[in-house]
Amino acid sequence: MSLKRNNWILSIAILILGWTTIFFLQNSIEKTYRRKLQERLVEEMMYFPSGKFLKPVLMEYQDLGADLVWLRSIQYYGYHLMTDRRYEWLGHIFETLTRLDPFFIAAYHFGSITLAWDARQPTPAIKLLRTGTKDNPLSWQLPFDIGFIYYSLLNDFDAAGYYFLIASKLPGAWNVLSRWSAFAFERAGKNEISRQIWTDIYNQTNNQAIKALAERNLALIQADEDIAVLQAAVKKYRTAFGKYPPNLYELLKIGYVKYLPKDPWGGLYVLKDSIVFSPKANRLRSGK
Amino acid sequence: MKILAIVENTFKEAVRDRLLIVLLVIGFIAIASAKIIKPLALGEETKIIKDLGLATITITSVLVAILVGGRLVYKEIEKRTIYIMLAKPVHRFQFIIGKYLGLLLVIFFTMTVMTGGFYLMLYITSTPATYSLLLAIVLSFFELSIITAIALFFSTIATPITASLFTFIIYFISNFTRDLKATAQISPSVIVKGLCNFFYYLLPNLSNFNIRNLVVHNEIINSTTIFLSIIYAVVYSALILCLASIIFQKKDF
Amino acid sequence: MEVAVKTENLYKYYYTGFFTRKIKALENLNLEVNAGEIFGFLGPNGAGKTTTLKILVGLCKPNQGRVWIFDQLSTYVKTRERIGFLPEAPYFYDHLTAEEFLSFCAQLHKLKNRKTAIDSILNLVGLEPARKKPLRFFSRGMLQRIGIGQALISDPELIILDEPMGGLDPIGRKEIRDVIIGLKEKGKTIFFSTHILPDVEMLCDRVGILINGKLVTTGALNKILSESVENIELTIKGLPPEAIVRLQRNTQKTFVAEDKVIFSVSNEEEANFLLQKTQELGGKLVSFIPRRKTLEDHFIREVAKESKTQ
Repeated sequence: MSLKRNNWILSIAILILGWTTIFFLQNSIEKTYRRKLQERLVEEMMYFPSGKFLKPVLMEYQDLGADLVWLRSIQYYGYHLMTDRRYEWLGHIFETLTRLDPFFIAAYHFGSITLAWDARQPTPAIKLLRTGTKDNPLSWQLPFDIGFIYYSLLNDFDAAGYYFLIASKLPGAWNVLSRWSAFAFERAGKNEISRQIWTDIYNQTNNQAIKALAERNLALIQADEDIAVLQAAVKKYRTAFGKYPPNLYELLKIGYVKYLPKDPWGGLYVLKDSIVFSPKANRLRSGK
Repeated sequence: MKILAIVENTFKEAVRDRLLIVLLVIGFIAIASAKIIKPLALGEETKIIKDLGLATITITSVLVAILVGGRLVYKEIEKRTIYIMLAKPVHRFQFIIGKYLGLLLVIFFTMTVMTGGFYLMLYITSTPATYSLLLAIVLSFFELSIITAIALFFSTIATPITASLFTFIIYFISNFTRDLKATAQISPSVIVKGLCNFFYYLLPNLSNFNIRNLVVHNEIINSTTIFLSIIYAVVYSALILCLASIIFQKKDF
Repeated sequence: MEVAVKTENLYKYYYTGFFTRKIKALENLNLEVNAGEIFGFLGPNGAGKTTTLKILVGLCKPNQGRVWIFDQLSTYVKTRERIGFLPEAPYFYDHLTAEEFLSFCAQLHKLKNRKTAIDSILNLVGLEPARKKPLRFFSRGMLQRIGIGQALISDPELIILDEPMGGLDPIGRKEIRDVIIGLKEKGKTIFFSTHILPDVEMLCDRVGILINGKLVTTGALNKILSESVENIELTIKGLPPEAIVRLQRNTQKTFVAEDKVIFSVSNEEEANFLLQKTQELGGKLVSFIPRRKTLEDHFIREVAKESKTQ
């Protein structure tokens, strides 16, 4: 009966029209918020005064709550990694998360690495890790992370060596740790040690974000070394010819360098005034 | 109007249901317990009393919607009281709308009663009551209009326990749809993006209606957002009711 | 003559067991009920009577075929304004009182003078004293009566009743019968389904017999039960035993009671012969009863016939 068919068509039309309206309404609602979704999600967590208060509210479901916060922290981090690289809330998120679930080692680990290297906040990172060691005295990962931050970012080699030593004594630690402790105390080649550590971190972790971060840092170390080599060649030229070379290709022609390395992102190094630098690396470093 | 007759009948039936009284009592106890919290709260009592009050009002009403609403249509079908009604010159969709509005009236009644208790508690504990508290409650009501529609929808196709369960699951998940959207935004996989977005627009975004957080911290609320959210609730509920009517129309008894 | 109900090629199937088995509830049903008559719808349990009634009032949809109520297609909700329906073993909102329930039904019909309608119905079904009583306290008989009440509240032209006498005691049944007769006198059409054949014999103008979803008989009651007499029963008193033995040979059946004997003969001639003999032999006639074919006989025969063709 055509009445039946008409009814069906009408019903389906109403449903499609309805859901399209919903689609547009929801988007409009989103637009009325001044701040991005990720920011709002994280800001909300700011209103939980402390994990102390949240815990009894969540009762049995603290772990679920911690998982949700973990998810939101990754969403927040991922979003800012792709856009402006500004991580104002990162410290707070991980503080909340680790109060909710103080035994969540991965949270301390990921939180401190991203805080230290991406958000350039080594001190809060170390604070986070120290809080972690109180609840997880047997975890080697945490003092190791502290040590690495001291070593790589803060250039406090004694502190680094100290923490590497503590870590090496804890169950399950990488056996290279005692070696690195020694290197730290000796102030042996910093880049070499850092490179080794990043490579190890890259190989050991399952966390894709950390892997990516390790790769980035390895690339930066490589860039530093290449630049140092090029810079030394520039200096040699200056000493030899009394002026700076017009470009890096000159150095290749003369034979001061065997080859011109590309920067780790495939771009070229340039010589500006007397300084060798890589435009790409600088951009990445400054976050623009 | 015939729909009004059904609304009145549904309301009467639900109000005489003992379950409603039980839920109301539990709700009151919860609100009253705020008084005991004072010494434990370390100076945050105001926030806690407001939080607890608003949350209780919403949760009690949600329970009413899910438990009473889940049974509503099924009971009629099972008890065959529906035979009398549908044999009368009443359209099937009038039945659905009547039941929905009746249940919504019950929710309105529940929320009003609980709000009364809440304001009483505010008065007793000398907590200042702001206009925005009322706004939060009103938005909560619209959130509930969606849940009620969903509960009614499930009650036309499933037994009460299943209907209540599904409604509750959807209620729970729909509070976290923003996380779905956030995941969709950062995920590189097209499939994940697609799925997350699909569910984000399919499920009701109940976080639109949750301004409790903002209210408790006395933040400014954008009136456009509120206006759009209310329209969203109306459209969404209407859509669910359409769906329920279509299914109900096809049913044989 | 106006036709109150007309069905055309009505089919209804059910699928069971995950859509594997198809059960035919109604098969090619073509039924007509004339306005102003009382139509009895008979059939064994599970024949499809209730299904038919449900299709008429829109509770069910047929897989094939159409239905007209007073020349309007039954798919239109408006047709139900002229129908009053009482389902089998009905159940009502037990939180309502009789009065509230009737008021609700009246509202669904958009009746203008609700109060007068409610009063008259309560009087009609004899429930005036139970007006303010919640339905959950009603007995089976009272429920049946309030059920009839809600069916009649809008003063419908067609009244459809599914097993209206179900579970009632003889007084209840008589009351319902009286109501039905009263309705007919007002010119209403009544269409009811039942198992209770004596009621049908007493009330109906026309009947239909439904067996396994098929309408096997339909028509005026009188026509179905043939005019011809099945047999004649003579009850005779005071015959000496030898006489009884001798007369037995002329009869179909003989039944001897204390002081009476009942002879069953197949036609009037044999009956007259017996009467003569009785007088000769000094007996006295107590009763002379021609027995027509009963509806029960016909019914049982049709069922047997149908089961043979299965």
